[in-house]
Amino acid sequence: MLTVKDIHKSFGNLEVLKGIDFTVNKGDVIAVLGASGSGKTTLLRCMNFLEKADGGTLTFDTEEFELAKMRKKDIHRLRKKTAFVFQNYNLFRNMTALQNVTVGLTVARKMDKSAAEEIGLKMLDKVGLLDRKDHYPNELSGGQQRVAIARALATDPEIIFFDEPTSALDPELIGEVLSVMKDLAEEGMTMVVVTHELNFAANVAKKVIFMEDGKILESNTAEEFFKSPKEERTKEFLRIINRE
Amino acid sequence: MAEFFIETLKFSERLVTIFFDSFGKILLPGIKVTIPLTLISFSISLVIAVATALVQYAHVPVLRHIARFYIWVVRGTPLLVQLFLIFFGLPKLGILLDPFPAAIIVFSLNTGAYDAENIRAAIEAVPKGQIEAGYCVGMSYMQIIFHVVLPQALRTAFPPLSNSLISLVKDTSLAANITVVEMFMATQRINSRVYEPLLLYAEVALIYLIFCTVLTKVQTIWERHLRVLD
Ligand SMILES: Nc1ncnc2c1ncn2[C@@H]1O[C@H](COP(=O)(O)OP(=O)(O)OP(=O)(O)O)[C@@H](O)[C@H]1O
Ligand SMILES: [Mg+2]
Repeated sequence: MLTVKDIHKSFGNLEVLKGIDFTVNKGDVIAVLGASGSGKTTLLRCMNFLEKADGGTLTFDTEEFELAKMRKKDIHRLRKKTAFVFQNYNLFRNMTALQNVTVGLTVARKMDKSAAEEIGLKMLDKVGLLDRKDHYPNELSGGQQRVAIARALATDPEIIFFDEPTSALDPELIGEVLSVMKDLAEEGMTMVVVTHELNFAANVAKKVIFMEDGKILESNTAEEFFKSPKEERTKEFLRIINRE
Repeated sequence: MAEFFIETLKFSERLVTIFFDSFGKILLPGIKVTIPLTLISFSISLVIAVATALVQYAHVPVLRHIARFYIWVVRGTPLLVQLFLIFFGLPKLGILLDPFPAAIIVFSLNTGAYDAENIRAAIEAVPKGQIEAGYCVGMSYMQIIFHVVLPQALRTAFPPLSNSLISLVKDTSLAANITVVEMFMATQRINSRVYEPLLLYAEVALIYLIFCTVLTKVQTIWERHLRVLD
């Protein structure tokens, strides 16, 4: 469904992505692992055009694009097929939970309000926050990320990118978010998840990509990745993170 | 002694009479001229300010330079001079304006320049993540501006904008200089008949004070109802 080839990205002199290839198939749940600074966030952001890659191609279904020369129109069109869940939620501060979830429908897709609200309420229910629909982000204590997931779901995306969705959360809230994501995975949602949650990667993800220093060092099914990591660096990473 | 007492009493009686006679005569142009002048100018200034702030924020070519130039000129010249320029100066170019519309133009442009900077600062304070989230739900740049950035920025800019409204109420007194019969001009006219400058100017000052106090109260109450963003 989505294939990227040879993505390159530098910030000034710092080369952050040094040629990344990978493919996301429909129904895939891919965990992206790697040490801090290895380029995971940048990769996700390049795939959703929040960062402009310096080189590489992106193929969505049958259309191929040069990442460095994308037209605004194409970016806008492709973004409507995807959704993004940020580490720090980025819920719209001037909107209630329900408005946050429906704005992608009412404003971006010109759906009428009642149809959008029906979907919005369904999505809030799905993440267990229906009773907080009229709360603003700063009153959602602990529920922000689940509202952000409901917002991502509302537009019925073909693929959802998650950038460390649980790493800004208090420990007692992590479980709620992971269980919502697990449900989505079971429903067949296509997801690319940057995460430090090895349990999630091992139990929910179907594939694992291990990044180091701007490259994909190892890529395998989740089962193989954890059972018999091939690279020495991967083994070391798993050892360190398991000890924490 | 008794005579002096009676004189004083008569004098005070005269002052009290003038005070009450003139109160309505000052307040009326206050309501009919000062308040409309303030509200109309302020509304127009908000439109100007938002537009001026946005063309800078969005780096619209040419327009953003015009915006900078406008802000630079307006903030660097006295309001009174601007009033004279428009009302007495423009007729030399064949542009004749009535006092009231001339005042509206000057106050709108003047307040607009200051508020543009307030709004721009507030727009720039909207976190980048809000805009990125907007893109990610499929909104266009314009949709993000109008549904995410501006609502948040106007909330942030509410206190400085209220302050500029309150300043504007007082600044409208300068329109007396271009023959707009607002409160201050009305007071001057009454004074030229009865010659009680201390009483009359204190009286008009009191009315401005009442206007501003009411506005400040409204601001406080309104602000309490506005949502805190973070
Ligand atoms: N906008 C930017 N400008 C300059 N450097 C950046 C920018 N964004 C990221 N970097 C740098 O690029 C490198 C990779 O960053 P990235 O955020 O992609 O790493 P990451 O794998 O997501 O790390 P983490 O696990 O800490 O989130 C880092 O060295 C970071 O400092
Ligand atoms: Mg990151």
